[in-house]
Amino acid sequence: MQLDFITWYDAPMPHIEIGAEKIFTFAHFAITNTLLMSWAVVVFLIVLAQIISRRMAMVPAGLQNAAEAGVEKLLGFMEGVLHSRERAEKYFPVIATIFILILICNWFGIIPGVGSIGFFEVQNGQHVFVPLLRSVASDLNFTLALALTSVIIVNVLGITALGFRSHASKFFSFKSPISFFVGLLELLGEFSKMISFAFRLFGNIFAGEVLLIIMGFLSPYIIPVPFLGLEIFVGFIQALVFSMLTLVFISIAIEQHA
Amino acid sequence: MQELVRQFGLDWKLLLAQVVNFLILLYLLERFAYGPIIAMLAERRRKIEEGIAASKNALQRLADAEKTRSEMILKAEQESLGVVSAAEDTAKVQARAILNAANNASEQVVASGHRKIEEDRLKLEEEVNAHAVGLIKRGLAATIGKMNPTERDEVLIKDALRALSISR
Repeated sequence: MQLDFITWYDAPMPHIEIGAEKIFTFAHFAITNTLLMSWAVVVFLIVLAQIISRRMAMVPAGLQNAAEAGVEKLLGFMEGVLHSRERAEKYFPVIATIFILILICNWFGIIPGVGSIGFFEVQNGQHVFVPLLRSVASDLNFTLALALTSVIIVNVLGITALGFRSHASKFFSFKSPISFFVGLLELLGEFSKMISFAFRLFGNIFAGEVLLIIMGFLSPYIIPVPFLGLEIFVGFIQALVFSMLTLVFISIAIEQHA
Repeated sequence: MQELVRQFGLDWKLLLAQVVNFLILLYLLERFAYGPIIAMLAERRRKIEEGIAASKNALQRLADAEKTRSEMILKAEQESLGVVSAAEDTAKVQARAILNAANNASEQVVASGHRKIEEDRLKLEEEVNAHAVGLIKRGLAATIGKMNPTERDEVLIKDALRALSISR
């Protein structure tokens, strides 16, 4: 019996696809590897939340300690931006969920096996490797969905805090031609926010993924390790940037404008 | 634009699925994580504040108790000094009275002794005189019969004088 081993130098050139790869179709709905990964992350976070909250003690230990420290730290940071503990607690779930979701999605993306375990399928007569799981933020659908949600939440909170008329007057002002033009720019700014949110996160994570693939292809051992560390850091920074920008936009939206 | 959308793999169904994912996660984390953790933090903060307030209260009460104790000690010291002073005064008065009584008693005893001595002396003198008279009588009786009257008188006179000197 003869065993055929594929050595690293025999490995095929990795196929880099910008869009997420379809794994299977369910009721005319294409399930992609990034969607599978996002479900895995959501399940993981819900299970983790259950484990933490199941045995809450007045004297914290273990996971509860870490969770409380994280919550306290983020609340303190938000309090600094919003100048109020009450407001910080009010908007905490949105900001914390954005931060945690992006952070865990990014970090899950560099777990060994993600992006490297999959199957081959024939596309245009070529055998193309399709990973079973892929970093969620390397899919523009995810980043755009998060950006869209973030911008909508910011505006909803603005309306809740100031009222519809006051909030809408930021975008539609007929006091003077200048204020009308400024309003239009503000409206355009909302779309720009969405696009910048989506592409910043997507660009960073996709670039990181490509970097890791290339480094892994060129030298599978030791050399990619510093890049993995870099990706852990980039994943954290991107989660922080996304959530903090959302926080700042919320703080601007709930303040009465001149 | 369509080429761009295709290249990036944009799909409104996937986008919606990701939005729903986020909203479900937001709801469940709020319910199972943020709510309990923030409530626990608030509860702990409340207990710490209560503990600090209780500690401050206890310290205040301790200071009050210390002040009261000092005041009581001071008052007790003052009272004890007053009591001691009053006791000393009373003792002095009583000592003076006892001394006076003792002096009076001793004077009475001395006076009584003097009286007793005087009485004894007088009694003894009477007894001596009586004894002397008896001796004189017996002497006279013994000597009178053997002497002439002149010689007898001289002897009687000498005996009388000697008896008198003895009794003195």
